[in-house]
Amino acid sequence: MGVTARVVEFPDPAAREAAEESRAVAAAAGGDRSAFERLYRCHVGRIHGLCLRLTGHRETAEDCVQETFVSAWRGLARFQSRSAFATWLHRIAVNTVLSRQRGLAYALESAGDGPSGALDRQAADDAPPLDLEAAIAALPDGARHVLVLVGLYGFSHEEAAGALGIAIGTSKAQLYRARQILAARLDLVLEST
Amino acid sequence: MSHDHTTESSSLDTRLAALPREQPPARDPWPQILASISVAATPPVAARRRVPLALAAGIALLVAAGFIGWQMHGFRQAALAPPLAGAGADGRPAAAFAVPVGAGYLATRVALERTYRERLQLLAPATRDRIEQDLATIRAANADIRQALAADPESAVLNRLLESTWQQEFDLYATVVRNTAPAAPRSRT
Repeated sequence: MGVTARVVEFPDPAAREAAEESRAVAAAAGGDRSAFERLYRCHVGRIHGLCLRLTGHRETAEDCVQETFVSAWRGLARFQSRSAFATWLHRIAVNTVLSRQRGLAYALESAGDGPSGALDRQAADDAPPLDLEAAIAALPDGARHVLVLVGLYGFSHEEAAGALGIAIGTSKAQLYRARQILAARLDLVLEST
Repeated sequence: MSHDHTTESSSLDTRLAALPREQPPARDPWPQILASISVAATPPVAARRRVPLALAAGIALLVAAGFIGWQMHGFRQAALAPPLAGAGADGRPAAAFAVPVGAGYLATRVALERTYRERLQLLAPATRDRIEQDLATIRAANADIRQALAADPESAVLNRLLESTWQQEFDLYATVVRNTAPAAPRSRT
């Protein structure tokens, strides 16, 4: 037989993608930067969407994306494949955003010149939001964080509570609060009457 | 839960579900990422650090020891200085670091650091250098813990250590501000 390697055919495209990602993760963990770039290209849109909705700041979100992938590269050797790479990456992104918000650097940015998140949200409060994204950006931090994680990115309340450092009950309460605020701001009350 | 709320939520869920989860950044950060990861001379496997937790804990202990030593041999007028506004009964700042921060917290922290920078100039150079060394150590510990958290985001120990570095930094600012405040006139009652 002249065949030295057998290509395993996956009837399920998702299974094939998962296998390809596993190979890319393994290669990247071995120092293959091109494999890591493939992982980056695959996940950057979703990670940026997550960071943008958590921070409400475009530039901060881009910084967090950069920091997330650099942290992921450094931590690849310790990545446990029992959890999905995407899940692991999302956790790093959430932790990056929260660390930044808790940190002095974020405080100084907020106090510096240029529009701050608080100002963005204040502006959103002054006028009716044009769309759902603006209404989400105008939510209080706690409610927005839970809504983004649970309502948009598929975290369970247990996962969101763990990532945010809050109780599961608080996570559920914040989600309820976020929905109430959004429903009011988007005039969804009219649809229910 | 009322029928109205259920209907609202259903409509809201539909609209939430329609939002695109993927939002590519306006500028591609890959060149910066590549530059950052290329700085490391060795790939992640070889660069693996076995005990970042132990290192972080060691630094935290070192910082704690430094604080104790500094406060024990610190300023004699500390007892005369008025307590910091917003401080607890023991003079420590009342801010709680374990909770997500808000605008009020951030404003307080920025104001405190600004005052700290001003008051630092009032101290003797040797004292000032020592304090700056402590602050650098705290920030180095913070960076180290954050890096360790990237690999183990759910580690409760690491998260607590991370919070402790924020608290230590805040405490350092508050201690300097408190101990360099001009003595308030004592009321005679």
